[in-house]
Amino acid sequence: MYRYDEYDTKLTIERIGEYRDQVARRVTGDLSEDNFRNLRLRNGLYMQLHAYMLRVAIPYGLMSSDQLRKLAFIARTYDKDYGHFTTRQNLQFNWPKLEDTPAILEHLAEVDMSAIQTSGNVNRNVTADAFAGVARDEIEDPRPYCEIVRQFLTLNPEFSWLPRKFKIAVSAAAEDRAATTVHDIGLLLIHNAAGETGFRVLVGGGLGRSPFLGKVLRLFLPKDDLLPYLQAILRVYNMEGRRDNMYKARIKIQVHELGIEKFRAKVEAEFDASAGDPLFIGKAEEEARIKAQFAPPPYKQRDEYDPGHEAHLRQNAAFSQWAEHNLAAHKRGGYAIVNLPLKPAGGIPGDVSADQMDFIAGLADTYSFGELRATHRQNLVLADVAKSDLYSLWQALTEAGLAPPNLDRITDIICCPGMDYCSLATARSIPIAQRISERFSDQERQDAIGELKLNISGCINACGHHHIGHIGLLGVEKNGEEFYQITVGGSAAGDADIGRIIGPAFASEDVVDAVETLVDTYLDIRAPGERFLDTLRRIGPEPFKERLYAID
Amino acid sequence: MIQHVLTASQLSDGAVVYLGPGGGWSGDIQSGRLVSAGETDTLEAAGQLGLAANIIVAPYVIDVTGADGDIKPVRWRECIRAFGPTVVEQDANSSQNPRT
Repeated sequence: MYRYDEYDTKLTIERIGEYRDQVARRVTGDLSEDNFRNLRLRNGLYMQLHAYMLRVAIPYGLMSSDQLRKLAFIARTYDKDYGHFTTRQNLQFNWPKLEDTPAILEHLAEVDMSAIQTSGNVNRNVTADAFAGVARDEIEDPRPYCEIVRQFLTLNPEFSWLPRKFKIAVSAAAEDRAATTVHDIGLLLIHNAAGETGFRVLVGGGLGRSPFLGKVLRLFLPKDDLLPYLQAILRVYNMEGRRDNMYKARIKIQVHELGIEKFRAKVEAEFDASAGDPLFIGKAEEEARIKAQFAPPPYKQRDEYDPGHEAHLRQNAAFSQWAEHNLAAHKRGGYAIVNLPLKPAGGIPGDVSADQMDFIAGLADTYSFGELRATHRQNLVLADVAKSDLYSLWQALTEAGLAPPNLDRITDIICCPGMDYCSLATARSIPIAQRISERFSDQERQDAIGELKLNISGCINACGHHHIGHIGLLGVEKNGEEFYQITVGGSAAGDADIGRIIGPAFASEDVVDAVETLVDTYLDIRAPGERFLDTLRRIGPEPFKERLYAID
Repeated sequence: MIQHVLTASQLSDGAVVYLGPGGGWSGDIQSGRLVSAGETDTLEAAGQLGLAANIIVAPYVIDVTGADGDIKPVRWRECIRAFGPTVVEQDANSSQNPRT
C-alpha cells in the first residue's frame, strides 16, 4: 500500500501546524465561528447534533493494521471507544473535543493518515472497489490510479473552492462494487478493441435531492491522459458550475442542464487546450513510483483446491454458511477474500469498538499481510487470506461476534447516522436499521430472502444511499413526526438504477411492517432463483403496492 | 402552553447547552431559563453574550412544553439533542459502545 514520502509527510505536518494555530485562535476568540467553519471543515471537523465529529480519510478504503490500531487508540483516548465506518470508506469519530483535534491529527500523521478534504467543496476521498488488486474479475489493480488522483487533487490550489463537494470512484472489475454510476466522476478501467487498457469515464452521477446515474463522457480514455482529462472536467465544472444555488451546484446538475453532448464538447476543448501542460511533466516517473508501492504481498504458491478447507466446509455447517456468504473469489489460487460485515443483529451499521479495531488489526497481521479495507457498504474486508487459514480465522471471528453470515442480506444495511447524530437529518435512521435487523435476524429467513440491499437515509441528502437500495428508506419530518418514504428498484451494481417511490410514506411505527410486507410479497410471487430486485423488475411495483396499501 | 428556552453548542466540545436563569450554561434542559413568546429577545441577547465570550456557538431559541423540572422540547430533533441519541445499545458481546 502507499506510504507517505517526505513531501506527503511535510505537507501533512505543515497543515496540522496551521490547524493547531487556527484552533488556538478560535478558542481565544481571535477567529470567529464564521471564519473558522471553513477551516475546520477542510480538516474534517464538523459540528453535529451533540458534539464535534471528525471524519478521517481512509484513501480508497485501504488501511494497514497499524493504521487501524491508531484509530482504536484515538477512539479510546479522545472519543467514546468506537468509530463509525462511512459509505466513502472513511471513519468518523462522533465525540472529539475541539482542543484535542490537532493532537488527533498528529497521531493520524504518525501512520500516514489525515482528515484533509473529508469535508468542504473539494474533491473528497477517492473511493474504490474494496476488492481492488485481488478481485478475480478485474483487469488491473486500480489503486495506483486512485492514489495518483488523490495526490493530484489534495490541496490542489486550482480546485480548492469548487462549486460544491466532488466525489470520484474507481473500479477495474466486471462487477461494479464501487457504485461508480452514482459519483460525480466514475472511472472504470477497461480494455479497448486493440487490447489497450484505459478508462471509461462517467460523469454527473449522484444521489441527494436530485439523483442521477452518471453518463458516459468518454468511452475510452488512454491511461496516460487520466490527469489532464480530470483536470479538464474539473475546470469546466469549476468555471461554469452553478455557484448561485447550492442545490444546483453539483456537477450532475451542470451535466443535466447542458446535456452530455455540450458538456463533452467543453471538456474535450479544455483537454485539447491543455495539451503539453507542464504540470504533467515527469508524470510517468511519478506513476511508476506509486505503482511500485502496490506490489502484491508475498503470496505463497498454493493450490486452488485446499483439502483441509474443503473438509471443514463439509463437516461444519456454520462455517460452510459463513464461507458461502462472506467469501469472494481471489485472483490467486488458494487464497480468498473475506468480508467482515459490521452488521450484528440489532446493531448499528458500520460501528466498531476500539477493542474490535485492535482485534481485527491483529487478525489482519496474522491472516492477511497486515492490511484490510473498508467497503462503501460500511463493512470491512481481509483481502488476502489463505484458504488453509479460513477455518481458524472464522473461529476467531465467531468468538468475537464478528462472523455474521449476512453479507448482501437484508440485515447488511447501509445507514447514515440520521437524526441521532447528524445536524442535517430530518428523521432517525439507525433505530430503524436496528429494528429491521432484529425483525429479520433469523438466519434461515435471511437466506430464504437471498440478496436484498436495504439502504436508509435520514434526510434528502441521501448519505445512506437510499436511492440505490433494492429497498430504500428516506426519513422525512411531517408535522413534527417521523415518516419514511419507501423506494424500490434501486441498484448501484451493473444493473444500476435509481429507486422509485412506491407510494405514501409510513409512520415510524409502521415502516418495519411495511418492509416485511414488501419482502413477504416478493417471497410469495418470485420465480425460482429470482432476487427481490429481479422479481420487482419482472413484475413491476403493482403487486407490492397492492399489498402495502391494502385496506383491512 | 408553548414556552421557550435558548440552546446552543458549547465551543469546547460541541455539547448541547441551555441558557440558565443566572446567565450560565448547562447541559441539562431542566436548568434552562423558560420564557414566554414575548420575551425571546432577552434570550437572544444572552446568546450574543455567550458568543462574544467564546463559550458557545450557534445559539437559537426553541419551543418547549412543561414547567420547571419537566421541560420537554416540541420538536423531535430538539428532544434528541436534549436527551441524547436514541440508538439501541448493544450487549457486551457485540462490543458496541455507550454513547453518552
